Amino acid sequence: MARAIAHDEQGRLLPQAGHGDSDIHDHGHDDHGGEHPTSTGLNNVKVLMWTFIASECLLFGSLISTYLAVEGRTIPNTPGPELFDIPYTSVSAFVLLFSSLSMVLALAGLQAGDQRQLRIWLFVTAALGLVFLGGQYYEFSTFYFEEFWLDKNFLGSSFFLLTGFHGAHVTVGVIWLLALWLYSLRYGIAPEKSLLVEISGLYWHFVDVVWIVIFAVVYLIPYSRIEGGGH
Amino acid sequence: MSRDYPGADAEARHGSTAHDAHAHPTPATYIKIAVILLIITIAEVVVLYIPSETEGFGLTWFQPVLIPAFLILAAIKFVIVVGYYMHLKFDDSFFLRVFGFALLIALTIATAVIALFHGISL
Amino acid sequence: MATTTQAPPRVLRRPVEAPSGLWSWLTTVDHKRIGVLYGVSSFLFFLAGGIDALLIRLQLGKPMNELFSPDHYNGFVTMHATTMIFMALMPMSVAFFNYIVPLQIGARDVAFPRLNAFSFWVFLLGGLIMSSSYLVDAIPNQGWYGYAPLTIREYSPGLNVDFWIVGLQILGVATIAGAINFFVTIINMRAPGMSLMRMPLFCWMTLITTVLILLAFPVFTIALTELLFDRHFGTTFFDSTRGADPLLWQHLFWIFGHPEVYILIMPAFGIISEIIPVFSRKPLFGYAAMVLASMAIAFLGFGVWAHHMFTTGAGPVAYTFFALSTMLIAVPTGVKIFNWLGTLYGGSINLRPPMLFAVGFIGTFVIGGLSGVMHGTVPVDWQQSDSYWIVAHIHYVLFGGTMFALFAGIHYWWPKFTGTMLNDKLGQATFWTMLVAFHVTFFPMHFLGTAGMPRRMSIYPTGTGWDFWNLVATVGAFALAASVWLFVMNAFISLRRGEPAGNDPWDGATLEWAIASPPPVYNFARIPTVSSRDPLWVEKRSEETAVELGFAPRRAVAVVADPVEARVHMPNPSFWPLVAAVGLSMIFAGFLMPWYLGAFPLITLLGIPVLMVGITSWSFEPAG
Repeated sequence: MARAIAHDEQGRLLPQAGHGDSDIHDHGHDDHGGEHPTSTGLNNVKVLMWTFIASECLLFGSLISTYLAVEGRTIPNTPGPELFDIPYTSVSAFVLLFSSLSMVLALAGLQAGDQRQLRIWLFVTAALGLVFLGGQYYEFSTFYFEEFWLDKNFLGSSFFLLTGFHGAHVTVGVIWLLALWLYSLRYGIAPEKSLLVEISGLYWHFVDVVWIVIFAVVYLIPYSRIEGGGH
Repeated sequence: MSRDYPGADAEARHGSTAHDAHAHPTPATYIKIAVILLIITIAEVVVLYIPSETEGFGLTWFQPVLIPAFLILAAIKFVIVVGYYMHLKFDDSFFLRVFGFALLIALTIATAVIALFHGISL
Repeated sequence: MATTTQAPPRVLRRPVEAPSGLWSWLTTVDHKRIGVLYGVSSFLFFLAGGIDALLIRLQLGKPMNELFSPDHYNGFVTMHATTMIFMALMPMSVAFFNYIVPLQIGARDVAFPRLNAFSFWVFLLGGLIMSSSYLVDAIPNQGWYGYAPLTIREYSPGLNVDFWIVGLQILGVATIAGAINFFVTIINMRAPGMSLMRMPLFCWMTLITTVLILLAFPVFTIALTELLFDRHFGTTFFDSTRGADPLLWQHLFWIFGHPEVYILIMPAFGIISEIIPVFSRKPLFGYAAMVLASMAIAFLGFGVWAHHMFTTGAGPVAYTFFALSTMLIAVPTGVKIFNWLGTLYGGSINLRPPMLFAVGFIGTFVIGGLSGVMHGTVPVDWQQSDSYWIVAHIHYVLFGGTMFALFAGIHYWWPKFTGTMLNDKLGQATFWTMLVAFHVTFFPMHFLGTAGMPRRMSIYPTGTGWDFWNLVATVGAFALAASVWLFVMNAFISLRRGEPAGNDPWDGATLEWAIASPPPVYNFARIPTVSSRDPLWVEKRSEETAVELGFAPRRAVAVVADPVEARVHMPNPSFWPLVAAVGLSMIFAGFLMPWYLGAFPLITLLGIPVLMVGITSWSFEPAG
């Protein structure tokens, strides 16, 4: 963090006040010019997003720790990891991975000045997010009818809180992306405002990355430990 | 790109054209990465089913390395997505330090808590 | 997130004089006003927590006292701690972050002014919701640490614990939002030339505090969410009868809880590091060592949590690790103490009230720090755990430490906040009363703890030998209240007819003293360029030298009083942060109301659209 930069060149002495929350539209990507100089040269909103993501690491870290701390202590005769449908979940996992791809393609499209690419891929990303949520709804309801629910045992509590928290993050992301998509349909997003898409992308990829961890730690590892291996 | 925009110093320090558009991965690279991620995900599922399916073939040694295998594969996917899709590999190292520090603290604490609960205390 | 406006013109014709009236306060995004709002509300919460403390001391003043029922006593104990930590000390530090940090780094506002307003309103609503538990006689009464399984519905059926969870969740959102904002502000909003290693120590401590908040609070959020789910959705996180492990709560709570004590003390370190150099008329000794020591404290602070759990049987390896890391933390803390002493040494010391509080801080904090190292030793901890010794320790570091520093900060920056001086004599009286009363109240608690008095007990039998020191502590507590009253009087007198302070009453070294008191809305008409750690001292000294030698003085930070220059574009006021804060608070408060059809927390569902409207309008309105 020791980025000791003394900006004392001309024109730097009277920066605009405020650097207000929404002047995301003034800043643009730091590739595209800095109307508002910052001490590090990094955009405020981008620093905010990365700081938020850093903080979220601890949020999901605590949830995953909760799950793993008591993993393997299921009460006898209550449902557990044997209910996991790994092929089904791995499809879900890939839906989310692919939505990350469409997200970067949306950003690349915008940066190349291609509004059509931007709109298509924004929509595809949001749609894949919805597919993931639908899959999660189906999975949850299946578990519910198989007597695996958050009030059944500790495993259920920590599983549903963790995956539910992740699902809530996906939901927020889908709303955000749909808003961006509608905005791009109505007004278009100028390439120099690509930060709008980049920031939502950072959030979206982070949610995807969390699922990578959940898929391995919550699904695969406990499933591999149950009696008889992968059956 | 004029020299007086605020990222100029940072860019100069990097001594590279990291901020130039052509340094970013192209859509083709993104698609290749997605294919790699797909392969790893398939590998995870296949690895899960190997031990029991192949017990007769003397592959039972695989069971103990299963958990490390999952963790390593997940870590690879994690690094790829964060590095390429989130541009951390190409972006200012400040973001890497912010994210990396939080991740370090989170991993350390999680490991300690799990170790304490599972009685792995030597 | 998106907005339809074009980039605003560089200079706006809109006048920048501070508007007045209630509406202007509800919609303000000015960091100084938000700082004042934080300061006033946290001081009121401080008084409320103080009243809790007096009620506790009244109850314990004599043995077999039946003044309050044990239930109410437990409520006072819980609310005293919760109020002081989350609603008084932390937000009072945040008040200083708000008012002082942008001034010290030479900025016109924080990075996200409306997010800043949002943080404040969320904090205020959270504090009010928590305090409203008094009105419905459901005061949280399970202890501020909320140990499971006492907190699950089976053992705490009332709304008491729900008020605690809901209040803390809301306060947590405010804290995290504020921390992100100040992190970005300090990283990105520094004036030209203000490199990180030229920042005033207070800004450094703020930066480190925000990092601690961002890494520690999410853990608490999760712990509280798990508890909320246990109480409302039948999960079994902390229900040991259904396979859970109650120690899980203790781990999550103290993973948050120990960094939390550094969150409380770091701003205090920063304030002290500002005051001691100014009143010793000498730059801070060992600046770099101070910064590195603080980083070390913050980092090690994440590796000591289990020393709160030495009596839970973690095993010798865990004991050794956590005892060593706890003792290790004393080393960087010692570095800081010696640096302050090094600054004082050979200085031309001026014992005005801010300095008195600062020096008092060093003394009492050292006592508290040392008693902390003592119960970092496992066998000693087994003896002292849950005794009044711990109560003595926590008050030596949080009152003798943080609160003394906050009073030092209030006395130091009051002229900047208000433009008027506090009365020196009254300030001296406040300090000496507080210092003596503090030690009279809390030192005997060491004796009580050693004599075996457990903490949190509402009633104790006669013949234990605890009577005398308890009475002494009670008398001391009321003397402490008197010292706070002296300060309040001083504040009112200063506001009514205090001497005008001028820009720079203390011959300060940092940028906030270069501008008017109170500062104009835009802070700096011209953003200063900084070339040293004590920019104002350098400028003033070079000015004196220049005048002596007949040169034109070099003005690196001087304010340009040109009215054209002062026509600075400032962010628009906004109502939407308040709306979003109300929506967010409703979402959590729904868990305190009767549920619609017994299945939906109705207020929660109503809160979601309010929050959405708030955020959407916030995103689309012109920021300014």
